[in-house]
Amino acid sequence: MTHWGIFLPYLTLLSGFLTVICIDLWGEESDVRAKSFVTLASLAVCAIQTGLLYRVPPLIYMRGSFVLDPLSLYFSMLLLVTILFLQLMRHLEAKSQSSHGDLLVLSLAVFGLAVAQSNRYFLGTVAIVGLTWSVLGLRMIEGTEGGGAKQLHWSMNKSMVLLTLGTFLAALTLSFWNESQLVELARIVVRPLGKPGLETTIAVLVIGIGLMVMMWPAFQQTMSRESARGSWPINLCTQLVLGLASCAIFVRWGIQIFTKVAVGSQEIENVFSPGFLMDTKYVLAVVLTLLPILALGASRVQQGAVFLFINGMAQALFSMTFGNREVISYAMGQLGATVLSAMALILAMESMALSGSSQWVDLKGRGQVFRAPMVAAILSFVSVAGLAPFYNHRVLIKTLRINSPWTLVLIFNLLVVGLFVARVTVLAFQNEKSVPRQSLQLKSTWPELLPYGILIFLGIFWDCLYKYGSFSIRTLFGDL
Amino acid sequence: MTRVEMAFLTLFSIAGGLLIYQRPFDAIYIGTVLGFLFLYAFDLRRITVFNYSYKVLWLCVFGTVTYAFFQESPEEFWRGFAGAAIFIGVMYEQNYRLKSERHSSHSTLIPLMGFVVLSMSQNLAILSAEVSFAVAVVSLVIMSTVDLGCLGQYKLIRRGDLHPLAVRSLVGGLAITKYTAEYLPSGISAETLEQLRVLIPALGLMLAIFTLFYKRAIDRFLVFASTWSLFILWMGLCQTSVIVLISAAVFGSLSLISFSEDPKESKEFAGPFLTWSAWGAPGSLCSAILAINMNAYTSLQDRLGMAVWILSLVTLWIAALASLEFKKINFSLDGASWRQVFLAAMQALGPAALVIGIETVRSGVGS
Repeated sequence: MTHWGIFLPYLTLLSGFLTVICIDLWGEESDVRAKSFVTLASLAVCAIQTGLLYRVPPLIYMRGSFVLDPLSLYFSMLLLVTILFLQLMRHLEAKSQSSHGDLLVLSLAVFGLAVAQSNRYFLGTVAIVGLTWSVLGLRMIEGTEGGGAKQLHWSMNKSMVLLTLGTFLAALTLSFWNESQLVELARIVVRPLGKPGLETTIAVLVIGIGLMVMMWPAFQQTMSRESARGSWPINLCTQLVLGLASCAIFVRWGIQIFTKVAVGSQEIENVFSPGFLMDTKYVLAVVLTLLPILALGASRVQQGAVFLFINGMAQALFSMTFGNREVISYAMGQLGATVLSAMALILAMESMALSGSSQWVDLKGRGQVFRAPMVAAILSFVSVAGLAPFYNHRVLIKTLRINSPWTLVLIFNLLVVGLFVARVTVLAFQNEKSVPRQSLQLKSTWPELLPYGILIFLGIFWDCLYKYGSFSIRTLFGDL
Repeated sequence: MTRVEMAFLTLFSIAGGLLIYQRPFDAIYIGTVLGFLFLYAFDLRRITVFNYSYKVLWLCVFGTVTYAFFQESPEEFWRGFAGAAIFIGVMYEQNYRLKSERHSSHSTLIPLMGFVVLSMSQNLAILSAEVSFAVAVVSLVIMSTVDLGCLGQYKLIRRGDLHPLAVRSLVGGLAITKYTAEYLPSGISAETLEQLRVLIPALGLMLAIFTLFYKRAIDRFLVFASTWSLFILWMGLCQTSVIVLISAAVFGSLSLISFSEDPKESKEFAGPFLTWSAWGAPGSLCSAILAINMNAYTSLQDRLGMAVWILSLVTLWIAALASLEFKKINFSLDGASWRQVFLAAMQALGPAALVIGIETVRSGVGS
């Protein structure tokens, strides 16, 4: 039985949809700001409603096609905060010239919530396809994705691949366990079928879908010959939304189903051997080796930043694969810290009037003109890279203390990511005389100050991030 | 005084007061507050006043060092200093003026990143105590010698340009003091320590000889700064008293800040004196530290080590004399600011006070 309270945020988003459409149909051309504001308000109300739902006992929502346990609530909140920030930046930049963009932002929220809260593989797959389409649509409408028809064709192929894989995954679980609900599967799979090949296939499918959602858009932009023209909020926030969806897939579709709590310890262990955690560790080790190198080799600043933020999420997932409860709590908090770092970076970049298509050369000497925003941008990079003294560094320290040679992967990753940060800093403070002293894109001083507030939070007052992360994994450890 | 500066000083006073209140008689805590206060007060080009983002970074360095001291675990200690190292790296990049276009390989951030990664590596559970100690020492050596990568790259250095270098020297000295006083692992063998006590002075001497290949005073001075930090590390590994270590860190950084290569500045009265005392030459605060250590060691190996350090420093002073120009010195005080006069007075009168103070504290502890 599903409690209807779970749909309140969806109803709010739906009412936002209808209002924007109504203004579009019967309003005047000058109502562009009104549509943008309605979208912003709907998202804010939706986020508040979702936040308040934590007070309702989670067991009410444990059955049916949607689930609202602490884990899905955590991912929902992160997704909504990211999308809300994206819309806020669009509203401030007055970029929402048409209602299409607003509608796509709202659909991003709907599909994002569905990915985080879906209790069935197939429903989740459909939501992911919707999410990737919304991201692509938004990027194309806001003029961030070059290539037009070619890009559309490529993305359609990708969606089909995702849909096929997800359908295959749903069919496999339904045929072998006669169950398609994730919550029920988590209980059934504890007793293995005795067919390790099948379980490994399902684990590989989950990992494959997760990686595709996280990495494909970033690679698509890198491979594309058309230069991306996008703004920082659109490109980075949409990438973050996909990254968070991917993390939700890894945790809810994988770790929640294919692990169990070890008897008498604060750890989770694989249900079958070698297991989902080990498979994920292999894959993420390769990802963590390649991502910082790709960030260093990227031709545009924004592209490098996108890879760095994916790297931050991959670090969190990698830490989770060790199965230690404290580390998983910290790693879940790291996802929130990554979102906050992205906000600080976006605000700093907007303050410096650095566009999404800026090359590395455009960064030269910019720190000499825009000193405060550049320092904030560099510290945001430091934060998301996992370097001291920010929150992500603490997660890595906790992981390194686990007695496993796999932790050396993190050391290599940090070394290369450190080089990336050094490169940005060196370029930023060159003695370049030809730096344009443009006025800020955002006409107020708070975008310059807010990043410092966020960074102070991530450096000192991060305790609530850890606590919220710890709260979210009650689902995994059966503490409900 | 601007409102921003007042706010800054208030913040610093609160943090410093809290730090001393926490342990009122702890030399490390008092030394930390004094060290940062001196670097602010004797910032001769007022870089911390006129550059707000530098001021923020400076406060961040002070904050992270304070944090490292408040948290009573090696993990948090290294975390705090790793954070400070990154902030210092950004300070360097923001303020140093190099001859040509900067390349990442000449950046001090690269070795500082190395320090950060090595400090994190000590948390690896797979490392033994011996290896972990070796990693710690290597990271401290890197922290001490970060400036060597920029040899031959700097443009004209004026007094105050070296503020980030002084901050780096102070933070490095504090890290060494705290690490060797409290976090030295118990599982390391005496042989390893003895080997290090030989290797580090040898490295210092090698650097001092290496200085002779560079002609410009600034390049030689950068080597001196690194040598001084290595000297503090050696003293720490020899289990020298904390008060001597902290004095070496604080007064060493204070001396570094007063170096100048600008001919206009060297004509003033305080200019040549400060520039000379910046090298720790006889009669300055740094030389007082050397004097205190002359008879401090009992083992033959440590005495030999001390002799090697004196040899290295004498080599550096000769190099300094050869490269600096002390012509047309104007002995009036007209061109000197109160900061220069005060700093010169400290350098002139401080050594005697320092020797008497440390000897009094030592005899008090002994009795």
